[in-house]
Amino acid sequence: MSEKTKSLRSPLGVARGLGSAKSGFEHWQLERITALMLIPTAFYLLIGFLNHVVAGGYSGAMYWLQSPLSATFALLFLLAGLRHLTCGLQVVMEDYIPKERIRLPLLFVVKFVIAAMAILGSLSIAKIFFGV
Amino acid sequence: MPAPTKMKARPRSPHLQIYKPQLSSVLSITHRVSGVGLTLGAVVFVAWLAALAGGAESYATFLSYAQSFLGQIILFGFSFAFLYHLCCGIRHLLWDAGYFLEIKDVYMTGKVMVPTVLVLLLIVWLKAYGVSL
Repeated sequence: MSEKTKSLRSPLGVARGLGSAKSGFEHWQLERITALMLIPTAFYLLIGFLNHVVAGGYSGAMYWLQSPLSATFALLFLLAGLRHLTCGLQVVMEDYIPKERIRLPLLFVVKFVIAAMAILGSLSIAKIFFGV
Repeated sequence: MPAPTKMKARPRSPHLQIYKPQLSSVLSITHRVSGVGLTLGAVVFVAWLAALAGGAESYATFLSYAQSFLGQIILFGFSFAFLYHLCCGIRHLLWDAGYFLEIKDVYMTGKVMVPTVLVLLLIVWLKAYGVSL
């Protein structure tokens, strides 16, 4: 039972040895889950951006992001987007950088920078929302 | 016992430039390139949030960069990559779910997606320049 709750892979697929031998499935799945989260949040942000930010200047942008719904969507978009970006960049690097001793440190740098961006973005959204 | 023969260099599959570009391959590589390009888009988005959180003054500085010629070119690229990757990503998710996998459907969804992206891009930039729609 615990096996079942851990993964969405079918037992038959596992028994037949289908799919990734290592941790590829979780990576693949995470890329898709974040992609699904990005569809509604991206459209919401795009529409809000065009309606409030482009014409509204500083006060328009603040007013828009101080609504709880907008702040939630912005935070979801930020975090899902950066996680999706990490997944995608990792796949691209694995395709084009065969040398592991170059790829792994580079991947570490990418993940570190993206983590920093996630923190900066989250704190910014929080500061805008609470108006401090 | 014979000496081990030296391994001959194995043939390698030819890379992108040798193939005739087709709608399917061009849309696929554009998806990847736009995704990588959105790294810069993510930096712009976070910079925008940080500038806004910093107050009216830092936001004005951000806007002066964004409204410069180079800033507008970057934002145009960002908006294209954003809309393209969003629309093409929906197409990829539909494939993952098992739909539109026949070659004729691949072309059909591609031919629906490209004009959709261009129309959305036009709407975004008309709105950005204050045209009421």
